[in-house]
Amino acid sequence: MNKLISIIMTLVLGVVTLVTVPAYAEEKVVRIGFPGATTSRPQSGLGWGYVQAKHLFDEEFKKDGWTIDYNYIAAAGPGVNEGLANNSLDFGFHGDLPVLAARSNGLKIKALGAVRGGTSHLLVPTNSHIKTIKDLKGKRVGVSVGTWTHALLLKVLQDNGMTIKDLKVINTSGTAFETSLATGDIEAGFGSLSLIRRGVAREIWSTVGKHVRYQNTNTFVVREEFLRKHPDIVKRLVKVFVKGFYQASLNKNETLKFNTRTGTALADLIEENAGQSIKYLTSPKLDGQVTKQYKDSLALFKENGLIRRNFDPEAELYDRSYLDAALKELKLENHWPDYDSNGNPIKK
Amino acid sequence: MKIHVFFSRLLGLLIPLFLVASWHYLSVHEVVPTTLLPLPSVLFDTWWDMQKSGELLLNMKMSLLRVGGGFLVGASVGFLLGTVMGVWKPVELYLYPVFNFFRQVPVVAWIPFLLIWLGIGEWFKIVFISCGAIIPMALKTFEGIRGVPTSYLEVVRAFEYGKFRMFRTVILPSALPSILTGLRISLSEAWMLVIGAELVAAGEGIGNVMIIARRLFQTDVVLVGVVVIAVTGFIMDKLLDLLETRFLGWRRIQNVQ
Amino acid sequence: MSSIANLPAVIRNRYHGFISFLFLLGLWSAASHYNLFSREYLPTPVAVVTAFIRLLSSGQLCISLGSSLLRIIAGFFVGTSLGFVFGAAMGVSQTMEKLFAPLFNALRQVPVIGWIPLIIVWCGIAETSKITFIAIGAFFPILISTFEGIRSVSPSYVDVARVFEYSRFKLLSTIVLPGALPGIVSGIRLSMGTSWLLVVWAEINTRSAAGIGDLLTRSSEGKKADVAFVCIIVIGIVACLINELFGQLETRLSSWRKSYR
Repeated sequence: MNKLISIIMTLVLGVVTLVTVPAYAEEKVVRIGFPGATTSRPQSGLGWGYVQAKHLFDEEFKKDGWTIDYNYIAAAGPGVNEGLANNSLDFGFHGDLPVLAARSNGLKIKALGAVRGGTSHLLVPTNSHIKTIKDLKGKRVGVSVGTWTHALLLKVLQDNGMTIKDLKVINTSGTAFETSLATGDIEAGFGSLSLIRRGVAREIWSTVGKHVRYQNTNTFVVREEFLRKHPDIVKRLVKVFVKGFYQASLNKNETLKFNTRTGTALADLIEENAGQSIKYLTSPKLDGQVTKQYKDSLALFKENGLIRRNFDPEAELYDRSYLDAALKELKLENHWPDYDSNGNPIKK
Repeated sequence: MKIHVFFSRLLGLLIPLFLVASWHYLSVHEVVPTTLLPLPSVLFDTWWDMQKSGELLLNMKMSLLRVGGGFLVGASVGFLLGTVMGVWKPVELYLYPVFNFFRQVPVVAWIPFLLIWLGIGEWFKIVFISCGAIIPMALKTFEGIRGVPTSYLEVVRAFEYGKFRMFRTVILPSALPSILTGLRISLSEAWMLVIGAELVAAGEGIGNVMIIARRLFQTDVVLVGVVVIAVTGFIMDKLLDLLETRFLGWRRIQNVQ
Repeated sequence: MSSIANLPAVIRNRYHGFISFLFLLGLWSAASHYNLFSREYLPTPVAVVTAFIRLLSSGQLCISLGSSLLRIIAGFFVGTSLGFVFGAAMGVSQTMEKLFAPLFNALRQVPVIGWIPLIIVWCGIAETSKITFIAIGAFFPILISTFEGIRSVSPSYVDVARVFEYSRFKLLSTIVLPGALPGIVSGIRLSMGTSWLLVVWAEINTRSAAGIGDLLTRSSEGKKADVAFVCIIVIGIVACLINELFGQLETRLSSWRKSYR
């Protein structure tokens, strides 16, 4: 009897190992994940939209058999983190909260460059009595928890001497957010211009024309393990990324046009990005603007209990070597200035 | 004998201990990233922090209130439904087929419909949980009443008991074991559904804690949530078990005799 | 009453239920006809039928149902085979029971839905996580029923077999497993039923691909009550079919067992 049992157990263990340890065949695939497009998702990353519309990555890697697998993650930044954690993604880009939360909880990633630009609007139903941010006190506010708009809400509340505890937070995003706003289950929340255009909501505040610290500053991240295994691929990828961002920086209207592919109307894109130079919006540099914003965010998140471990992003997160090498190789070292925390170019 | 029992208990601890030890080993040596599998000790600290800050209690209270409300409504309606179907033949004839169809539709399928009707607020959760709690309760009550031996009923009829008296003195006690089983299934169903409801649409609650933690990439909190809901479910089941023993004590004595 | 009695048995047995369903349908039609509720909340029966035909002809329903069923089959297969192996081992050997029972009893306390957030963190939101989730749900019913099925085999049978000096394998294959079979089959029925509702849960919480749960969520987000109704009815019918199918299997197997005795 014991023999039979041991045979059975060995078989089970064998099956379990086969199921749980997937065969790591050396596939030539680069898997990039980014926040997926849903109707109320604020657009972000103009340079990125250009790179993708032009299929620049695919062209670069086609010749030696690598394919690029684009994953639109509906769960946004937090979903990208999960993909990176469970090895279903190699690269990703997401805003300050998801990146910092991931690194703070020990996800092994490195930030290679910045993907700037992203606006959002604080919306209330058209017939709502809420007029200012202070009126939000005690209201049910829809928050896409863990995304950059969650962070944005914290910043805006802080400016008004409030904290998230003054609100009733309801975790929701995408179409569910829109529906709940219409039914009155949610009384406010960050969303896109399209909701205003369709008469669903009106805005009481928006990032448009505000200080850069309110805008979405994504970072382009890579899994450390992938970086170790394929430094050459990372190098080439970053080079294409920089080249694409350079091309995108040359003509604002052209770049905006390419970005309509995300489903946002051109007029909206023009309005949302008015008053901001395309050079700033396409700068991939991890400069003073990024580091200051991330440093402030880190403190704010710690204060609000969104992250539990403080860390130094310079030491643990940023890896500028690939970006610097690419800039040098493409002779673009002087194309983008470094921006300070106010988004102004630092004159050398 | 006692030593024997002790050792056989010890045997049961072997695998869990082995699993925890290998879990610890895997995390410490980062074979499995700690982001996916935090250290057992970290888990304990996290639990303690959540306990201390009152976050856990507040959310548990919310979930338990929802379960309480949904279970109370669901079990009462279920009991009534089961009783009328069990006692009146015509009701059974007409209602049972409909009930039988609807009980097979998984409650989860009603979510979108309930969301359209009730939004994502508190009503949705209570109604949803009640829907789930009604079914086992109604079914078990019905089965219990149906299972009352006809000989009992004949005897009672001979004594010309009134309908209500008959129900109270004969049918109900005889169906009680089945009804209590229904109560238990109902409660565990309600506990599962509250988690489900909170995952789908939440303000507060233990399911919501898990979802928020997931989005903030705090795997340890998610794991603590899993343990907490398991323990709570277990305690609730044990409480009903105690209730059952109390109510059915007479039965056991009877059996012994 | 006499007119009912003259009807064929198939109809006669279902006569009252049929009337109730007709009554419900009438109530529903009336409510939607007189606009008691807005169309957004309560579609007309005609709208539901139209939606059904539309979903059917566009292939959307078939694709959704098909992908959900594929997931179930995968998860069910993994879950039941593991559950059967562990259940059998624990049923046959007391040592195995002592080793594993506490572990599984502890894990069983987690309401299945509670695993969802953890599985998402571990496996993402693609197929793996859905299948894992279904497998967990399917595992426990079959584990318990196999274990109890084997334990319910009368010791006297085993004693008789011992007298005849059956080999272990022969004992297992001719006495223990056939004896436990009805229990195992009822476990399979339970597992299958659980899998069906869990696939809907999984799809609602991890939306990455087509499925009946995904269709359902979309319908509620788009406020399409007609599509939601179609989904609810389809899910209900499939659940009934599963129950019926495995119920038949169960009765057939236990009747075989009776005659065998």
